[in-house]
Amino acid sequence: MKTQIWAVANQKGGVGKTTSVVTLAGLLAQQGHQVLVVDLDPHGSLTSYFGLDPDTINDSVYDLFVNSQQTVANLLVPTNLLNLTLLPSSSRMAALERQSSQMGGMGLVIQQALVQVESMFDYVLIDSPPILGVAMINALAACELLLMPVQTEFLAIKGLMRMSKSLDLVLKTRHQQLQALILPTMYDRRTKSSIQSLRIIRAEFGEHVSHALIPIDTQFRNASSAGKVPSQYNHLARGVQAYDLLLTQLQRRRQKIPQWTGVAHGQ
Amino acid sequence: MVNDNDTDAVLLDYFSELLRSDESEHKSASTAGVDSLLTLKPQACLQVKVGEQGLLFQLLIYQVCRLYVGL
Repeated sequence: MKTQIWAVANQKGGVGKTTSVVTLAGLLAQQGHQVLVVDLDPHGSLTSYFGLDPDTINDSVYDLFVNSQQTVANLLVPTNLLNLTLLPSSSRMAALERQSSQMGGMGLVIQQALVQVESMFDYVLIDSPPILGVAMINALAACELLLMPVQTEFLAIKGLMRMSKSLDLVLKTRHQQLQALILPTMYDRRTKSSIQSLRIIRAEFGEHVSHALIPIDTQFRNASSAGKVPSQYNHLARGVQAYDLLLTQLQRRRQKIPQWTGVAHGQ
Repeated sequence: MVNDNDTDAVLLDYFSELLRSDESEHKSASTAGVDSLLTLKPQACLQVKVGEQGLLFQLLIYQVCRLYVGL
């Protein structure tokens, strides 16, 4: 099986990127797949999730950007879930922009690094920071499938429009094609705001919107506090079930997810 | 006043630089120049074609450094 590389990105923060990575990775690992999660966010939420401190960590994904001799295998950390491995982040990732001003090709570091570990993993999931910079460009360049979580509320839609426009620009300079799927998150069917926002997202982005809707679910927070991936904490939680549905779409109907060719979004 | 087209042009330029594949074998900021200099062999001078100004310049610096430190 060829390694599948998925990135989770959105220029807006707090939309459920890390939750999406952790939950999907947990489900995949529990299916028996070898899974690597890559944290590119200087905040290191994913790294913290697995009990490491991004402020004090010595070996992290940052090393790949500053030391061309560094091998990925030396940076990998096993997690408490079988089959799930972490490439942790460091707060030092915040300094990447300064370095990249001197070096062309800095956006391809992760793509090239992942080639080293292709034979070890069935899936690689990349958690991108909510900033359109070196780290996010690395995530976009390395992946073949992009998931864009978007909170079902009006301000988040504005952020999605911005992300969509940025993606158009990135793909103008990228030579490969990219499948992209928008994932509505924190959906609350009791609120008018959620329902209307979902309607707008579907009207604007059509086939790019996931069939699965991720509901608000306190079980995600509880799982995080317990230091477990959500499916490990409570497999029957409705949030986990929604991600399971998403995974079915990604695994069984993957070819039906459209390539991103630029969406006629309202600008 | 900055318009959308100006912003797009700036971003496109930035992305193109980051995704430039010919320089994708990135180097760390502190060692990029030094690495390439130290890996050059003196006899490589003989193989340099006229017109490869950048390499000639590096070789020239290397030879000067070599004489200076007595390598």
